[in-house]
Amino acid sequence: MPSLFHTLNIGSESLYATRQGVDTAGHNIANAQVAGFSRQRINLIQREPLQKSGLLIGNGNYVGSISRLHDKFIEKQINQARQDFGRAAAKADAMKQLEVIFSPELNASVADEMAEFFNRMQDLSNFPEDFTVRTSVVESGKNIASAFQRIDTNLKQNRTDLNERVAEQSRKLTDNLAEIASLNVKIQVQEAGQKQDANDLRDQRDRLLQEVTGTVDCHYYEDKFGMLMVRGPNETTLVDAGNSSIIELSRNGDNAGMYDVMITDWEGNRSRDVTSMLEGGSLAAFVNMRDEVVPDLIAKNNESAFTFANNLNDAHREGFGLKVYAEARGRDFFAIGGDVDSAASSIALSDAVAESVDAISAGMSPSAPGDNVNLLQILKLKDTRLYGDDSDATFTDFYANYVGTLGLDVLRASHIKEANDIVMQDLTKRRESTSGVSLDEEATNLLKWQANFTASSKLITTVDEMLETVLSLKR
Amino acid sequence: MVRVSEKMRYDTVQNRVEDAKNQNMRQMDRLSSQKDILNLSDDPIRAKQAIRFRDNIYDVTQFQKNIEFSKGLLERSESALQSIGDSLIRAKELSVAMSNDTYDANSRDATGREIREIMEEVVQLANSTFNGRFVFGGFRNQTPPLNLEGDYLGDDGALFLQVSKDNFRQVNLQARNLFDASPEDRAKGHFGMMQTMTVLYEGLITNDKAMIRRSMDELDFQLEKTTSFQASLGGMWKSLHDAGDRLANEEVQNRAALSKAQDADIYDATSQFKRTEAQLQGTLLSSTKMLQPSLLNFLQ
Repeated sequence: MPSLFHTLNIGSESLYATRQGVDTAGHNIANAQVAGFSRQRINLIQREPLQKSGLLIGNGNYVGSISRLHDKFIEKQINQARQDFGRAAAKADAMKQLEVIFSPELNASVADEMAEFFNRMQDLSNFPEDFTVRTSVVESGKNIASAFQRIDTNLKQNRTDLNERVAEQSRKLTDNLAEIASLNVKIQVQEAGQKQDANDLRDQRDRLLQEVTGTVDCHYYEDKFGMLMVRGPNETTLVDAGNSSIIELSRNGDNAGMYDVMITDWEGNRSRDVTSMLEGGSLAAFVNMRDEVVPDLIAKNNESAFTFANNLNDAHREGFGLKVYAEARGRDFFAIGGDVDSAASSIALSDAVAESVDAISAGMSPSAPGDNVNLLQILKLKDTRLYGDDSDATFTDFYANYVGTLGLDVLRASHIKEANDIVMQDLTKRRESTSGVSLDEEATNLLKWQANFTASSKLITTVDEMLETVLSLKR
Repeated sequence: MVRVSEKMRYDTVQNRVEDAKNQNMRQMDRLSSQKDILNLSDDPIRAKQAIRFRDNIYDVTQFQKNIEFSKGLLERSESALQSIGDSLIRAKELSVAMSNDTYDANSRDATGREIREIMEEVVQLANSTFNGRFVFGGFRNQTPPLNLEGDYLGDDGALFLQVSKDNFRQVNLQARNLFDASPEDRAKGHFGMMQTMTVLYEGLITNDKAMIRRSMDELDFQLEKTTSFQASLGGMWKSLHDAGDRLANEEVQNRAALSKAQDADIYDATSQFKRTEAQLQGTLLSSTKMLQPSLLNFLQ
C-alpha cells in the first residue's frame, strides 16, 4: 500500500493542475478580443498507476501540455482567400478614388465645358463682331483647356499616390517577412525538446502570415522544426527558416519613374523584378491600377484633347479675324504640342488668341466683321465623328463611353470585393467557431476548476487530519 | 451546432449595424440630393445617358437662343422693308399725280422736294440697325450699306445660324439686288431703287413729264421687288418659328429623360429612408440585447 504521503502528493498535484486550469481560462478571457488569438486548453494526463501488492493504484494526474484549438486547414483556406480579398479590396478602394475625378456631380466636367465652349461659339455666330461675346469665347476656351488639364493632373496625382502605396505595401511586407523569420527562430528554440507547441508565438506568426497573404500572392509550408517557409511570386523565396527576403523598389525611367518591385534575398543577391508577375494581394491591385487602368484613362483624356484642339485649329486657320487680323488667316486657336501623350497637359490658348480677341477667325471673307461662315464650320465639329480609334464617335459619345466604362469597372470592382468579403466573413466565422474564445464557456471552465480546486484542497486537509490521527496513536 | 465565440458575436453585431447604417446613409443621400446617381458606379448606364441628355439640353437651349435672336433680326428687317414699301407707294402716288397736266412747274418742284425727303427716308430705312449692326449689309455690317446716290456698299454675306443638329438656316437678306439692279435686270433696262427715285426727282424739278412717266413704271418694278423680298423674309420667319416650337418640345422631352435618368423618385426615397431607419433602430436594439448577457454576469 502506498503511504498517506502518496495521497497528499495526489492532492497537491491536483491543486497544481486545477490552478493551471484557472490560469488558462484567465489567459483565454484576457485575450478574448485579441486578433488572431486561438483559445487554449490544458491537457491533463493520468499518471501511470503504481503496482503494489498485485494492485494497480491510481496515481493522480499532471498537466501534459497546453494546446491551442486551431484548424490549420481553415487557416490555409483563409490564406488562399486573403490573396483574392486583398486584391479585390485594394482595387475597389483605388477605383472609388478615380471615380471622384469624373463624378457626374462635378459641374465643370470636360463634357460640360465642351458644351459651354460650343455654345459660346454659337453666340459668336450670332454676333461675330461683338467684343464681349469674343471675350466670352476666349474665357470658355481657357476653361476647357483647364478642364482637360485638371483631369490630367488629377489622374497623374492619383498615379503617384498609387505608386506611393506600392512602396508602402512593399515596406510593410519586408517588415512582416522579417518578423515571421524571427518568430520562426523563437518558435524553434521554445519548442526544441518539448512535446508542446509555442501557442502564442504561433498565433502571432499566423496573424503576420495573413497580412502577407493579403499583400502578395504566395504559398507556404512548415518544415520539420516548425519553421515556416514562404514562397512568393514567380517562386521567389520570401522566408526561409530564420531568413527573409527584402522587397526593394527601384525607379523605372521607362515607366515615368514608377517603382519596380524587386525581391532580393538575405544575402543581397539574386535581385528579381516581379512587377509584372504579381497576381494576388493588394500589391498586385495597386500595380495593375498604376500601370494599366490609370494610364489608360490618361491616354483617353490626352486623345480627346489632342483631337479636339487639332480639328478646331484646322478649321480656325481657314478664317479671318477682325481689325489687324481682318486680312490674315492661318492662326491656331489652341496651342498644343505635336505629341499626343502630353496633349492634355500642354493645351492652352494660342499666343494670338490669348493676346487679342480680334484673332478669333469667325469669317471666311477678309474685312467682313459680320461674317460667321467659318464659325459654322467650327460648330459642325461638335457633332462630327472624330474621336475614337476608328474616328466613329463625337466628343460627347467618346467621353460618355469612356467615363461610362470606368463606372462599370468601378461597379464590377466593388461587386468582386463584396463577394470576397462574404467568403472572408464565412471563413473567419469558421475559424472563430474553432479558435475563438467564448466567455460563457470560460466561465463554466472557471466554475469547473474552482470546484476541482476546492475538492483538491479538501483532499489535502483530509489527509492532514488522517496524519494527525496516525500521529496521535502514540501518546 | 456552431460554437459561438465572443469575437463572432461582436463582429456579427458590428457588420449588421454597419450594413444598416450604410443603407440608411444611401437613402439619406438620395433624399438630400434628390438624385439617384451621385457616383458613376451607382448606375453607369444611367450616368452615361445623363451625360448625353445634358449635352442635348445644352444644344437645344442654345439653338433656341439662336432662333430668338434670328427672329428679332428678321422682324427688324421686315418692318424696314414694310416702311420702304410704303415710301415707294407714296412716291408712286406722287408720280402718278404729277404726270398729270393739271400741275405746273411750281407744284412739281415742291413735290420734288418731298421725293427728296422720301429718298432720305429710304436710305435711312435701308441702313436700319439691329443690335448695333446694319441688317441689310451682309457681312459688312458695321458700315451703312446704302448711300443717297444708290451705291450698295454691303456685301453678299449670307448669315447662317444653327437651329438644330446638322441644320443651319439663313437669317438675313442678301440685299444687293433689292437696292441695286442685278445685271439681268439692268439688261432689261431696270435701275436701282435710288436711281429710280432720282429719275423721278430730277423729272419733277426739271418739270420733265417724260422722265416722270419713265419713273412710274420703274417704281412699280421696285415695289414688286420689295414685296417679294418681304415675302421671303416672312417665309424665313415662319420656318424659324416652327423650328423653335419643335426645339421647345425637344427640350421638354430631354429634360424629362434627364430627370428620369438621374433624379430620385422622392416617394420611393422617402419610404426607403423610413424603412432603413426602422431597420437601423431594430438592429441597434437587438444588438444591445444580444451583447449583454454572459454567464459571468451570474457568477457570484
